[in-house]
Parts: sequence; structure tokens; C-alpha cells
Amino acid sequence: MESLTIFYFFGTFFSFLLVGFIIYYVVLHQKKVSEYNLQLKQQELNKQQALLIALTEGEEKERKRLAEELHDGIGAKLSGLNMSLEYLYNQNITDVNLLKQVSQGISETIDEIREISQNLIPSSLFSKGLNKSMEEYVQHLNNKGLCKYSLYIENFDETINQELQFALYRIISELLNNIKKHAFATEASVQVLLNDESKLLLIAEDNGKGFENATENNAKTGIGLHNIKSRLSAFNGTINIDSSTNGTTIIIELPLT
Amino acid sequence: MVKITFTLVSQISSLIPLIIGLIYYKNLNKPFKRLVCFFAFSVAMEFGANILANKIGNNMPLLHFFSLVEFAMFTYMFFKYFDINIKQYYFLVAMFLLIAILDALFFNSIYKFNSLTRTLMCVTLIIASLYFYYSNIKSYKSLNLYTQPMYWFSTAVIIYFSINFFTFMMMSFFQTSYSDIALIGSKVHACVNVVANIIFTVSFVSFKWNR
Repeated sequence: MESLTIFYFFGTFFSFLLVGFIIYYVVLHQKKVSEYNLQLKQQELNKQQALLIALTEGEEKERKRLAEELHDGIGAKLSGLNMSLEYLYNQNITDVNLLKQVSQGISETIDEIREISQNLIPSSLFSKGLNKSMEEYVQHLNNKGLCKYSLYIENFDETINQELQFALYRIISELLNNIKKHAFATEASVQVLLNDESKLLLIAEDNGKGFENATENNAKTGIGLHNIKSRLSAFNGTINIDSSTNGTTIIIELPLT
Repeated sequence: MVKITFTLVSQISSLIPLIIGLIYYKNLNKPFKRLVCFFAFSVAMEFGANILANKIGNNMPLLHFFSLVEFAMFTYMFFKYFDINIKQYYFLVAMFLLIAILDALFFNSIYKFNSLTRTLMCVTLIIASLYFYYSNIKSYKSLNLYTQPMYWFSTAVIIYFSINFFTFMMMSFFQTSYSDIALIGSKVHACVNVVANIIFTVSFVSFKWNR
């Protein structure tokens, strides 16, 4: 009887301890999971905030650049043309050379406006796709004859989403713009390749004069690169720059997922 | 003057989940509304058991019946939570009914404590509660357990049935051979019952926290 009583009391006491332990463990575990999830959410929030700041900064810089282009480029040209026309009107003369200059100036201004417009809203991207619109853009640059641009884009229009295509368009345009304005190159090439179907590889090369402090944002080239980096961070992309006096190579990796 | 005993306190404690359950009735979901009905049934059974004990001197037949309803109710709560096919629930209750009848007729008597039925009930509900905890740990969901009514329900179930496991298993034997140990067992049961009733009450209140 005694052993049975001991068995009963120990059994009950052991059950009590076991239940206490189980409940304690479950509560402790759940608390840890909650804390961990909270941490993850906070990290995600921080990341999104950083991204938002980067995008806002990029947008501000883009606006500033656009304002500069309009004021210094088109504004100045139109003022010059206006002065020429006023001169012709006031003098009441027909100067063929001056008229030719005005006509040429208007053509250049139209080209510049088209370029700015193309940079702002690449409408061809939506109607023709990334390959075709980039080809047109490169063709347009080649027509100017200052540098020979070549472009190779693997056909993956259907495999990547529109946001990524848009970002890619912007990045390539920015790279080509940098080459055109700052590199003084005679040859430049851009290749976009699909790397093992999970990553896009963008390689931009030129034989220009290169640039120093590629990571700094103070130079104009730096502003362009900063915009590229802002766009890349939105897609978890990476950039690698190798620049010397013999030219520049930029390698960008963009994950597809 | 009414003598305050462990059993009386335990019986009165069954009123707490009923009263709180009725206060929060509108906030409860369907299974918990049924649980309130079960506690109403439980209070009626407590009064019935008292009357039978005083008039006839044996209220065990009522306990046999109550065990069946209690098992059906508690397993229903888990079946609803895990969204298991209701046919399996009916099968389980039918099997339990069969064992309860066998226990009442052959293994023990209808006038004795239904040790086999209660022990089997303990095992089933402990497994169900443990599975509830396991599924919550496994899911890695970021939910606050304190606001989950099923967490409180499951906790009450595991506390009540685990601690009373040995009491239920040996009560039939103690009642026939060692009545003093049986008395201690009933006091242990009464204490655990009060704790379980309070935790069941929290499960009703937690609906308000969950909103």
C-alpha cells in the first residue's frame, strides 16, 4: 500500500512538474519567436526607409540635372536663336548664313528636347520592349558620330518584369550618358546577359579617359553613378567599377527574383 | 451552517467560467459558445451530484454520463481548432462511448469511479493539448499566445488532466481499498479543478484581448 501511495504522490507531483515545464517552454519559445519576428520586421522597415531615402535623393538629383539641362542647354540655345531672329527682323535683311545657323540651332534644340524627353519617359520601352528601345537609343547616339557605341542584349523581355526593365533602361541610359558626356571615348559597348537564369549581368566598357574617385558623389559622373546605385539597391543589385586612364569597365549584377 | 470543503469550493468554482462566459458570450466564437453551454451543463451536474450524494449516497452514475459529455466537448474544441474531418470526431466519440459502456458494465461498476474511461480521456486530451503546443511551436507564427483563447483552453486541459492522471487511474482502486488516500486524491482533484476553471475563464476573457 505504501509503495502504491508513494507511486501515486510522486506520479502526480511529476505530472505537475512536467506540465509546468511544458507550459513554460511553450511560452518562452513563443516569446523568442515573437521577438525574432519583431526584429525581422524592424530590419525590413529600416531597409525600406533607406531605400525610400535613396530613391528620393535620386529623384531630387534627377530633377536638378533636368533643370540644369533645360536652363543651360535649351534655354541658352533658344535665347541665342531669339536674338538672331530679332536681329534679322530689326535690320529687315535676309542673311542666308544667319538663317542657316538659326535653322541648325533649331534642329539641335529639337534633338536636345527629344533626348531629354526620351530620358524622362521612355515610351518606346512600353511599346517596343527593352531591346528595341535601347537599340534605337544607341542608334541615335551613333548618328552623332562622336563615339561608336555597340549594344548586345540577350532576348529576355518576357522573363523579367516591367519594373526591372524600366530600371535596366534607366541604368543603361545613365551609363551611356556618362560615357557620352565625360569619358571622351571613341568606342563603347554595353552587354546585358542572363547569368544562370537567376541573375542579369550588365557589362559597360569604354576606352575613354576614365575617372577618379568612382565612388564619390561630388563629380557629375558621381551623381550619375549615385542614381544607378539608388536604382540597384531597389533590386538588391551590385555594381563593380574598374576605371583607369585607358578606359572604364562597369559590371552590374541584378538578381531576377 | 455550510461546511466549506475542498469539494464545495471546487463545485462553486465551476460557476466562474459559466458567469464570465455568459458575460462575454457575444464576443465568443461558435466552439467557445458551446463551451459556455457545457459549463452550464457542468454546473447542473455539480448540483445533481450533490443531490444524489445526499439522497442516495452515490453519484457515480452521473459522473459516467458527465465524463462522456466532457470528452465529447473537449475533443470537439480541438477538432474544430485543427479543422479535422467531423466524421473522425464522431468515430472517436463513438469509440469512447463504447469503452465508457464497457467500463460501466464490466471493468468497473456504474456505481464506482470510472477509472478506465477517465484515464483514457486523460491520455487523449493530453495528447491533443501537446499537439496544440507542438503545432504552435512548429508554425513559427508571430502570435501572442496570451491573446489566443485556445492557448488558455489547452493549458487548462493539460493542467487538469495531467495532474489528475494518477488520481483518475487509481481512484477506483483507492475507493475500494484505501479510502483515506482516495480522500486526498479527491482534494487534489478539487484544487486542480479550481485552477482549471480559472484558466477556462481566462480563455473567455482572452477574446476581448484578441480583438
